[in-house]
Amino acid sequence: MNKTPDNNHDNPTPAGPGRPADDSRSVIENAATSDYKYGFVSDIDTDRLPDGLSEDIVREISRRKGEPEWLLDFRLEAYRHWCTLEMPRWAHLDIPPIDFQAISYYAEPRRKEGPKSLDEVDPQLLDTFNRLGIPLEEQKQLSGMAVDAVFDSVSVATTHRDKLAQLGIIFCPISEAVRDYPDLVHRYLGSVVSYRDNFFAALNSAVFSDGSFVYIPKGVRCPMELSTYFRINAAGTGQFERTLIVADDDAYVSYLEGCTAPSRDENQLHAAIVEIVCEDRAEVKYSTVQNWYAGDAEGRGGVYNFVTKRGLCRGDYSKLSWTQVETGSAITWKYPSCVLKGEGSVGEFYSVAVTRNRQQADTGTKMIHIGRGSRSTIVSKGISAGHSSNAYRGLVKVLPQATGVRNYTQCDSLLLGGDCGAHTFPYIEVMNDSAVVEHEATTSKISEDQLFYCNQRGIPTEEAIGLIVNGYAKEVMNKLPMEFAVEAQKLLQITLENSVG
Amino acid sequence: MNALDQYTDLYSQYGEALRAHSPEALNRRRGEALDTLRRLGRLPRRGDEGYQLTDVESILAPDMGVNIMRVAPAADTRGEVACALPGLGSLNALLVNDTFMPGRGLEDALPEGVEVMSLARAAELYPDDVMPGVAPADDAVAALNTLLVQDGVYVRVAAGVQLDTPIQIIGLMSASAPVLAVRRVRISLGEGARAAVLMCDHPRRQAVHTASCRVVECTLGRGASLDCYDLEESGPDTGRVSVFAARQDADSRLGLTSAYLSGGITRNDVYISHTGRGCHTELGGLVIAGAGQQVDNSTRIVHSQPHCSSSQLYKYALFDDARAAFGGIVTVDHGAVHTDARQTNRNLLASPEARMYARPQLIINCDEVKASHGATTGRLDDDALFYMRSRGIPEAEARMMLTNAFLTDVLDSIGIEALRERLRHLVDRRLRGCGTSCDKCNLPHELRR
Repeated sequence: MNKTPDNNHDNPTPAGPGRPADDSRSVIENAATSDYKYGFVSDIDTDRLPDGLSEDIVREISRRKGEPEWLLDFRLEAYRHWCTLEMPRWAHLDIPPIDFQAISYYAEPRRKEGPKSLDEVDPQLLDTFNRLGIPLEEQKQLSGMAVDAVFDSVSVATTHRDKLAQLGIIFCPISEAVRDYPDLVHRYLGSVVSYRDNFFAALNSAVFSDGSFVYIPKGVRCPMELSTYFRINAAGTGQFERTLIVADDDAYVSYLEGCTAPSRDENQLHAAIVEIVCEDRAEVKYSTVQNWYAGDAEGRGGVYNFVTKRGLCRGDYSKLSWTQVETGSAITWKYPSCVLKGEGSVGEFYSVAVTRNRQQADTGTKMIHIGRGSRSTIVSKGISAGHSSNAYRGLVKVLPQATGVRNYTQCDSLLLGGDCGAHTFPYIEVMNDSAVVEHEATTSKISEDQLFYCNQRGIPTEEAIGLIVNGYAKEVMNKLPMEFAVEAQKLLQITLENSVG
Repeated sequence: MNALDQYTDLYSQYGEALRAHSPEALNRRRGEALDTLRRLGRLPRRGDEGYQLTDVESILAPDMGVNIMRVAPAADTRGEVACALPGLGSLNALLVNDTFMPGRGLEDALPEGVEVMSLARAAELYPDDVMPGVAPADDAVAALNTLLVQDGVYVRVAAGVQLDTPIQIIGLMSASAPVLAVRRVRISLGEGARAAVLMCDHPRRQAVHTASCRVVECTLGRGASLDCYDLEESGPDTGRVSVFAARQDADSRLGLTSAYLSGGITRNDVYISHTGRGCHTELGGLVIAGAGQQVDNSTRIVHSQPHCSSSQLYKYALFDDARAAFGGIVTVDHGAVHTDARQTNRNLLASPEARMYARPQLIINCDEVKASHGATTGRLDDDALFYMRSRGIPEAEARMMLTNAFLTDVLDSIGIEALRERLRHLVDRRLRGCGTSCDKCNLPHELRR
């Protein structure tokens, strides 16, 4: 990969040629100081609900969004269920107590009327997304990617909708979908992740604001990547978006998700739900580059990323592939899962999770095999630096009726420095004798031999570490759509800059 | 009332009698254990973290008697010690329910520097050594054992003594009414000592529910070497909860091989900690489980010292509707550089109804380490079966041979030849569907299955 230092970056790598191998330790242990370049705050007037959560707040969110009765009932049931739950404590995470009454559950950029076109979108907002490198203006769009941009609680712009509509593809904010396609939303909302699923799923179901809705009709191959960018901007708010993707028979879609937030000293809560349904022979590819603000070197601030993502491969021979590059968030609690119900359905999970400074991540997947001949592959690469803690937690479950199941799991951890942690918690439950389930995990650091080899050939230590780390993550990076892969590699490079190379 | 309450209530009511029938050294820790149990509030249930399969509460829930008044067990087994391994000439001790009985000629046969005696007696002689606190204080099973324990086996091998003859601790259940045997084994090896201890659990007389709550605590002095073998072949009405805890000093070596050949429901917890550098721990496990049987092994190795290593190999062959679990946690603390930890769990499902829950885990807080784990679950290779059948080996025989071959590397690690061959024979018999009782079983007839 191209190892030219990022010129835009404030802290170019202080790499000197011919750095001796002995220095590698100090280079690795050098506290990461590279800035979070998305940490700016946009000065946009927001309209927000008062802090706290109650039935009235839930009703008010629903009222503001002009929702039908059934959705309000769904929210209220979820809220009442949430009140009976406690924060989950089983993850290998040290989560400071969260005051759920000190968060505002709804914030939207203030505007008079909903924008009819991009011309009407607040220029400040457009500027924000441009600074994030997200092409909202269609004429400047080169990548042929349709984008939905969600700012705090509201979707502000969705591009390429007309072109998609010609194929019958629906790609719009979920709040709009509730209005325009109530039957579809009613049918699928909560069908994969019930509000009873877990604490954060209940919370999200009660207060979810916006997110994207995607419907690919039968036999349609979506001609472009669909993409949603999430941005938390307002202080003291949480973001609770909800994404619903439905791929009907023989449909195909590749969906990308990116996220950033300003640098603040306080912690912000992000509790999203992503639901995916794959009908017969449908295929969904879901890629995430998660880059929420991770907090500073001392662990002040950062986003708590507590997300429930699950896909149901309901149809025979359907396929769902999750690819994630996790570099941000102070704390990540996230397990994108596949329920492989259809015969011969396929689930994939490819993950690179990087933690540094005081970041904590407990992430992985669940592969639930229900259908005969279903297959799954899990490749997880963890990279820990600084004082961070990085855990893989994954479940592979084969139900009694699932004959001929195949699973292969590989999870590798790379430790950069002596003060970080890398943990592996696989759960393997097999209830059918015809299943073949394999799990392998290794933990290692970059070997002196590899570094010496690179040094010998004139590659400075820091660059060599970068090379090795990128090679280590390549298996996952290769699974990303091309435009995203470039961004993700750059992100990986910047994230590890000054902490490794 | 939950299962734990019946034991804490029993203690509240009969605590005085229990203390009166126990040596002071064993009474000292009961208050602390009671506090722990009250704090925990209940025994582990299925679904708790680390307990995907086993419901400790239901194992201990039936109303079972505890031999508080130390009534001598009915069966007089002192005459001839059962289960002695041919060609081993071991030093035998018996635990009938939870009462220690020396094997014939035990005391005379003990070499200098080696002591094998009742835990109750040892509590008088070595009051500070019988309860070294190696088992974790917050483990509910260990705390329950501490609350109720009155007897067990004490093994002490003095510094520098190299004991060639294995010590065999034979656990028997003899009861006409449901009983809970609260057993405790304490093994202490001095600096540079070497010993092998074989523990086996054997069948009982009548079809009444019995359970054992066993704690084994080992301490290994600097450079000591201990091989433990834990064999379970008891009856279908038996429940067993066991805690094996060891603390190793620098440069010591511990091997523990557990084999489950038959029984009811079993949960084994293994805790290993190191207090000095250069320790090595080797855990092996072999499980053959069939109809109605349930086996759950959970291991926890904490590497807190530099230059230590551990290896684990657990293999399960599950038949009929057997249920089994393996959970292993390897923790490498900050500063435990040059740790080499390996963990392998391989499982064979030989029936559509068999269920396996595997959870191998690594918690690594140090970068200068080698750590790996692997787990597989599957059935016998169809190609291998076809190959054997095409050469005229009947299918059942071919399956037996392949299963035997699958399990063999756990047996290969057993250092005592006579024991290794004996276990091979037992495994073979078990796989052929014969009972596992020894051919030359010289147990009193009523104790045979």
